[in-house]
Amino acid sequence: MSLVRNLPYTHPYRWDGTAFGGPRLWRPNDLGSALALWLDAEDTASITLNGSNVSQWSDKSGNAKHAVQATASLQPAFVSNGLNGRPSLNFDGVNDVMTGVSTQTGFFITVLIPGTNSFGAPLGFDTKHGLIRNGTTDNLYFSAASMFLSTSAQRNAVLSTVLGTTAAIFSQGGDASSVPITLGDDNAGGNPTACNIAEVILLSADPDNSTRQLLEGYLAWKWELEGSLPANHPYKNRAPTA
Amino acid sequence: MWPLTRHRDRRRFFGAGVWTPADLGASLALWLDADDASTITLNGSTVSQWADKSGNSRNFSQATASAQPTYSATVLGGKPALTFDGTADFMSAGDTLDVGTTSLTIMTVVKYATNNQSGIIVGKSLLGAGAGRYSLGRFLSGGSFGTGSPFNSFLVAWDASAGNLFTTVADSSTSTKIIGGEWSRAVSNGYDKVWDNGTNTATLTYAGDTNTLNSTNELWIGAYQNVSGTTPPVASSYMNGQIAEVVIAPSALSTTDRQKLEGYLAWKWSGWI
Repeated sequence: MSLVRNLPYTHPYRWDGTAFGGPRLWRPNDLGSALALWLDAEDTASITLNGSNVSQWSDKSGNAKHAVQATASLQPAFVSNGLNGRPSLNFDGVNDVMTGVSTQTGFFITVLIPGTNSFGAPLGFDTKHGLIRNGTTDNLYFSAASMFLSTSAQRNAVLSTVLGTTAAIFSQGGDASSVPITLGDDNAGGNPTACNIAEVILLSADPDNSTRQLLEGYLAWKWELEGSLPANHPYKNRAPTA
Repeated sequence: MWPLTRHRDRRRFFGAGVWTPADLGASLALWLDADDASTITLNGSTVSQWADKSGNSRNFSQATASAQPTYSATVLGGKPALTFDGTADFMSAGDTLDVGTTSLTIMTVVKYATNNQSGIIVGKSLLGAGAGRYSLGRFLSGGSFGTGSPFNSFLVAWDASAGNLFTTVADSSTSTKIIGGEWSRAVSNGYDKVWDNGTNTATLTYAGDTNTLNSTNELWIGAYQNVSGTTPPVASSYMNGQIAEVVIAPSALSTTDRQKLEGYLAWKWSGWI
């Protein structure tokens, strides 16, 4: 897998090996209409830079739910080698925030690197948290102000209510609502937090386990986090194929 | 379905729609494939011959057992490769594959064992000036050989009568990678390029030339020839690591063909095909 994922993002054979008798790798757009939002920092064509900062992170779902920030001082920085040599957006934990427009949201899954000792929400849904971090313990957790029920929280495909601090895949689902997403902050009174966000995917409804595992496998193999998947995960040893 | 795709002759099952380097046609001068056991002649656990699949019979051999690379069965993407020990191993195809008036593309799959040692993958080499020499490998800064330097480079070194043309890029990786060199001699569009996992990481431009570049040096894998073009090779030029596949084309491949070659190598040596 490593040689395939090390090809440039726009290489014609980065995702599709059928020309050579191989498979096509599964990607979020294979979800069709269930895909509500897809932000992918590795696809630099989806990033609008303002100098070294990011003014727009374009939605790849086809729904045009772009995350934007017009004010330069509030824009996250683009980090070309943010996670395992691949790009991410760095939010400073002071005031950096990007905001989308309302989209039907029943599930989120994200790859991010939390900062240190910075209370706040790397991911927010209007006045609700997607994730909230304790500024002392550095643990990410879900609270009563979270978007979804904490019992559905996953970290690297493991059900979890107290989450670690290193780069990981976080996901949670529940009842669908139409709300705007915020990155690096939420609108619940200002909870900016230092973090690097690599990819964010929203689905319009809570998916079944197999679909969630597809997303986990896709993200894990893309961001070189497959070692963090549990041993019994269906995509522990191979990226999902279409 | 997948076990069939692992067969060395995948065209048997997938027909002409499955691309392999053979589809380069006349643009295929050399093809070494460690995944094709029929091309490898073993001498116990070492390799005495690695046969060329291009149809040009540029077979590499090494008669001296102590200089033969080791056959490693499941090292890169679960597939075989030839392991060169970094001290004595190399193979020769004899005096073949002169550049003549053409350009050249070399694409390889390799894994270096160390991050601080020079080592040649393939080349019609000579330590010193010599028209028609070329090579791809890891050199120290400035194009020398040795160990211990904090700076290593992949370098495509050519002598086009216009002098040495070489392109360097810092590289100390010990990961498996697709590393290649592309040499265009087109007048007004001459260049050397290094390709690293499908990304052009270094480029040197020059005026191009129309010279006929032949040499009497042998084509080697695993080491660089000494100043006399004889054995033993340059002491610090031995490859310490694995070579899985080598493809050479007598042209600067089109972007389409280069990307197909990179795609083929990436999917194959990631263990998908």
